[in-house]
Amino acid sequence: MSMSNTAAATAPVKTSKDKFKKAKISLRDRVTKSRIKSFIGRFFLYLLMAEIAFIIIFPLLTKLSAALMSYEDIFDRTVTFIPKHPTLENFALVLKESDYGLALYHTALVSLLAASLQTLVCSLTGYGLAKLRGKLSNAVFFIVLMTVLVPPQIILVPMYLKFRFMNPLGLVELITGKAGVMNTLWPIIILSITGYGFKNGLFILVMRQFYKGVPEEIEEAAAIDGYGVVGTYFRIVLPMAVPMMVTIFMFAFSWQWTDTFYSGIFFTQYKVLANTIFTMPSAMAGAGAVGTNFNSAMLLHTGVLLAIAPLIIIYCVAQRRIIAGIERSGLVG
Amino acid sequence: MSIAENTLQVKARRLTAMQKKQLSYWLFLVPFLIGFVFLFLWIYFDSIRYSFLYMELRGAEGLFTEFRGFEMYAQAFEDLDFVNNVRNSVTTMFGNVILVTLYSLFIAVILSQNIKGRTFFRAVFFIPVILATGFMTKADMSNMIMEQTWDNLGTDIQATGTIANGIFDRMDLQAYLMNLNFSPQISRFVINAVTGIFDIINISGVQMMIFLAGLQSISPSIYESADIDGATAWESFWLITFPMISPMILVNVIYTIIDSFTRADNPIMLQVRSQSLMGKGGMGLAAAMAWIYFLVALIFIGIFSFIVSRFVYYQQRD
Repeated sequence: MSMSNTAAATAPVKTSKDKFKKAKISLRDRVTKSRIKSFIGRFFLYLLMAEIAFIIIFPLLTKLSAALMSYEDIFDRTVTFIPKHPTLENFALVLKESDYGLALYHTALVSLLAASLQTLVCSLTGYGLAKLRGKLSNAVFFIVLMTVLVPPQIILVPMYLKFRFMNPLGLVELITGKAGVMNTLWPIIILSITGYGFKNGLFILVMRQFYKGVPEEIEEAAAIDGYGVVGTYFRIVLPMAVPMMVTIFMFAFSWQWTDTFYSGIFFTQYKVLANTIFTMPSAMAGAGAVGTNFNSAMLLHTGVLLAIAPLIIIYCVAQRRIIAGIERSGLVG
Repeated sequence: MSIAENTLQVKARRLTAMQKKQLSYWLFLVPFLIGFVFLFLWIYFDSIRYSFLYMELRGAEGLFTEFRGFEMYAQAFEDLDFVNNVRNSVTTMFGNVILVTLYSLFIAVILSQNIKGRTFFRAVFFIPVILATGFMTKADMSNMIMEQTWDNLGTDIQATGTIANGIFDRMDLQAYLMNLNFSPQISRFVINAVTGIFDIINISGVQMMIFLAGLQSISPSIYESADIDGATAWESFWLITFPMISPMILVNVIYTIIDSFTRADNPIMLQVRSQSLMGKGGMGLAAAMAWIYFLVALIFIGIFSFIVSRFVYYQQRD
């Protein structure tokens, strides 16, 4: 009994030792091979990434070069890309003329408000659509698709008229003295809180697909633990969706920031960056500044850079903090 | 008998529980439905109503409108520019869907790995998302318009758009390739490819970020266990990453179609915009065109999502 036992025990040990030897050789082999492979792979990878990054940054670099040029450089045929007389005059002019500080504050306020509301509402709507079955919910899904698919130009006039004369139960007239909510934050709040903001249909679609991918067992376990539908969503499912919602928040934030469509309709007096950058050159021309040392193209290039610079900075900071935090914590999966 | 009855009863009770649950899921849609019933139903209704109207701005009378039934739709179909533009948009969309989805998934997989300079690359790849609103396109366009009008006014402000835009001009490349004595077909192909790459990179920022977020939501423990089981990187891509990301592939295909059809520089969008501002028929004809276009886009979304959804994997039992 004991003999057969030891024999049975030693046999597999031998084979595993052989295997170990073989593995050792092939491992060493594999390491050198994969080192060379990974070096070549990495080289081409970085080459590719650098090239793509260059294509993306290039238009911004041309804008930067135009923004740094002095007035003489524009008429100098020998100057193509690197200005001969670099100057910050354009930046100073734009900062002054576009009322940059105030516009920046307004833009940040509107974007933060819109993005927070849109992220939450689209997440809720997406969850509802992911869980509901039947023709009625398909109809709602169709409406969601419709909101992104209908060309915005075509609802511009009806939408303008709705908000221009908005006066539910006579309340607006009672408070402000006249109907309509133009040049207040209300149009953006109303659109965001109902999930009809800029490209919100996309956000709803993303969240629906994400929630459809969440295993049903998780929700069943939550139900056994005594959570209701709403409790399950806020306690269990929502935390899992944080990476998706962070992405959507960043989309909503930067799209509200640079959106000229809704801003052009609702904020004619309320100064936001997306408007002031475009109205600034013609406003200056109207004020009789034509012929002095400024150039419309240079101002617009500078304005575009100044408008998106805060966004890129915010994204970099947020990426360090938020995204890295998500990856490290055990939130996911 | 009694057992069968019992199970039937249990089934019935379960069904009502399911229905109750379904009812409470409708709660999540309340904000969206309120917005639709009180606001957007009427906005869309108005827009459809416009498409049956003939509108024209007449100086003294102001806006002239007249009900014309389906005449605006008939006019849209007779407009050769419009029909051609629709056809071109559809062909462009086909190319975009395939290339954008493949490219953005590829880059997202690279960026989700721990490569050096990841923070920098991610920030750079986010720039196309910021510019997706057409912010910079509008700046460039208004630059051109302003320069033209100011040139006419006889001021000393000259066209400077050329400084910024002329460096990487397509024309330069074209001339360069012509000098190399290639056949025109080859040089045309290369030029199209170069501008194509340029466009694809700039329109796939959103899709890439969505893929990236999707990849981040996959639990690393799945990869670890696959690694222990001896799966290669290639296998774990096709057996883990691909099925887990497939719901987002559907999103991105649908979004690419929508984006390709409704971008600010799409010829139809330009036509609709200029039509709504001027021309005979005015807003009415523009609305008719937009709704025809909407239906075309909807058909293609239907076809594509039907095909793609066969490959989509959800972690669910039904």
